[in-house]
Amino acid sequence: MSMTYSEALALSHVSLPEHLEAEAEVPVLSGPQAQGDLIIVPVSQAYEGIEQTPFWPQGKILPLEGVQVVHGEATGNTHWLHAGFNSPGVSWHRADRDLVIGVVTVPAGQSAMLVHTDEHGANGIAPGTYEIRQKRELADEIRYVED
Amino acid sequence: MSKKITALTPDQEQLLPQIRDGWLDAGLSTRPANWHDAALGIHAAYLAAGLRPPRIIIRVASPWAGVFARAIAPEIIACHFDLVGDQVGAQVDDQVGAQVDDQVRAQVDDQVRAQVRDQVYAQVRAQVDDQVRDQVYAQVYAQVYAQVRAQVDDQVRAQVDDQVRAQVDDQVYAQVDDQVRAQVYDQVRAQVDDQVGDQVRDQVGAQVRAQVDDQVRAQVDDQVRAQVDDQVRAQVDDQVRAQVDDQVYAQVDDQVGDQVYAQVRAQVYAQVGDQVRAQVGAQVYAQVDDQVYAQVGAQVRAQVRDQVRAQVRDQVGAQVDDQVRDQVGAQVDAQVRAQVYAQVRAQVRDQVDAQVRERLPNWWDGRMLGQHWAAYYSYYYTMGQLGVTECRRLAGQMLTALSAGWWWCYQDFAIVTDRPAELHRDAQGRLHRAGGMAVRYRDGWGFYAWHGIRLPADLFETGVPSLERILKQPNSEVRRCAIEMTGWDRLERELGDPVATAADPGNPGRQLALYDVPDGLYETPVRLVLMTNGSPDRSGAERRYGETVPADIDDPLAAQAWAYGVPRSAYAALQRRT
Repeated sequence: MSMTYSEALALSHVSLPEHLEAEAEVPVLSGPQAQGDLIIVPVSQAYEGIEQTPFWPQGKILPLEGVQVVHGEATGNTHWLHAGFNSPGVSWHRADRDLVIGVVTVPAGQSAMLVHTDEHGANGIAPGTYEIRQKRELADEIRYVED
Repeated sequence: MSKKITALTPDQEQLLPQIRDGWLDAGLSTRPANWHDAALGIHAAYLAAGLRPPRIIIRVASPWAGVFARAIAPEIIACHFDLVGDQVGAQVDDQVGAQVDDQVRAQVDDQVRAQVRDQVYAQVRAQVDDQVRDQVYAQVYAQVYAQVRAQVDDQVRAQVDDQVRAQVDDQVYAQVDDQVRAQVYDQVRAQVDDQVGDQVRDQVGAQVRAQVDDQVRAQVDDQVRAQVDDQVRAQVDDQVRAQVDDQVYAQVDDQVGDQVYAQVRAQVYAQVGDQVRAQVGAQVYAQVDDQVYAQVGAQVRAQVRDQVRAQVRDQVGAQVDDQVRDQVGAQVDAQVRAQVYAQVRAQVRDQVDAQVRERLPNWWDGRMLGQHWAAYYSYYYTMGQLGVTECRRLAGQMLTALSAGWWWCYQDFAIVTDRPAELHRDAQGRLHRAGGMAVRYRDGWGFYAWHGIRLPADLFETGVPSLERILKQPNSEVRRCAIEMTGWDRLERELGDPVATAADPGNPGRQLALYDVPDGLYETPVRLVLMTNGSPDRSGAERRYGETVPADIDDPLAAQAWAYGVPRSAYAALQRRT
């Protein structure tokens, strides 16, 4: 079920940055992970002690080519979400609500892969439901951070 | 009167986003100008206004160079025709041979003498202005002069004159129409721009409205008479000189034989130089401005526009009009005029005001914005596509807008400027670039901008500015933008001790540090988190950068959690950062 960097990046037709080890495995994790300005956080942990967990509708099955979670206008860099090997059931709901870009659901026994087209490489996502959130900063206005 | 268009067909509706994207592409283009098409468009624009096309079209690389070129061109043109006619005309004829038509040359001379020299040159003689005998003037002068001469020769050979105007009219129109159509459609296909920015326009609208009334300023200034600034001259001089050397002389070499060149240079150039340089003064500019510049500009621009607009009003219903405005004009306007044009214009205006205002008054008279009027043209282009035939009268202007940047239209001559070589914007379409000019033209003129805020160039000329230097900037917005553009990481050593530090979860060996931000940068109280990327960039370097958070946060993990909008516990549990 696991993937190497070269396999993961190939999903997005991205060449492997020289500093990443091609055959190293991308860990597939069920906890929170960050990829540059994005965080992948299990819904169960995203609202701990804050408020009621929102109800996210069931997403759509990921298309073969994946989805662009964020496309950087300025840099052209993109965070792509892809299904992992033998993972036909991975679904994606685009929320675009506050910091939540969307929700990815990975069925038992499957995996998903978040890939950055520049330096950030790839993050493997284990079964579960996760929010993918973007980052903000406070600079006399709330601004979204984009790398 | 034909029946009003009160609704769009589905096909026409589909056309709107395509037209919008085509004009967006033109408005934001950084391709080198297509000088040929630009000149063709200018000819057609004059004809559409019922004017004789300009004999001389002078190309320059930037709006800033255009401001100078427009001011000095009339004298050069006048002197050139005058001296060619009186002193070396016969010799040039011998060299060029039978191709030169005496009649045409005489006619050109007569007309120029009558229309330009008499109005302008007579005034020149009375004036001696030491201030103008400087390097800026000399350099731009040389450039304009060389172009004028090359073009006069060409035009005399081509025998362009009033008698063939009617013929030219039809030919130019047909050609222009074809080219405008072809270009827009080519660009449409190449473009995908799903950005819509009504909210962007509101943001920048404020900047534009804030601007001082130019005319009032210029009038006041006439009486003030500031001192000439040597530094300014030197700076402009450098920019222009490279161009002159590299481009103009090469072009002259190509077009004129060595012998003729040497002869003309000795007998014309040197003399014209001595006479003109010494004789150009502020009053001449004012005179030319009042009598010639504004009239032609108004005619080409306002008169044609009014006529076209009247027909649109007659033939197009309010609903369709609104639809075209919303779906085409407003969107192009939001990106091109509100963001790019407003800033370029503000930069030119500020520079003129600060540096050469008294010598170059009324620089905006006769000015056409070319690519920066993409929104205006997109509207009328659409109306033309919907069947409003009068819009053809704008075809020349449109072709120029699709081919070049700003231009100035005057009686008998025009100035046309290149498009920028670089144009960088943020996700909201505001001018924005880290580590270089956001807008840069091919002569090096341009400016820095950060999320739509223009920054003084001298701040970055000597590399990374210090925190102290940034904090000395008088404008708070400029201070904030300058610091963000510099990058907090480069200033970390100057920030003093952090409020707190913590290991970055999921990012082994790297630290988060929380700092207080120096006073005077933000209105809102903020603190700064400095962090290191989880992965090295493609160069292998580990990038450290800073982001701002509310000032009541005193724990680096809580600061990061705030940035992602998750509980501190979720950030603390981060398993891996890439």
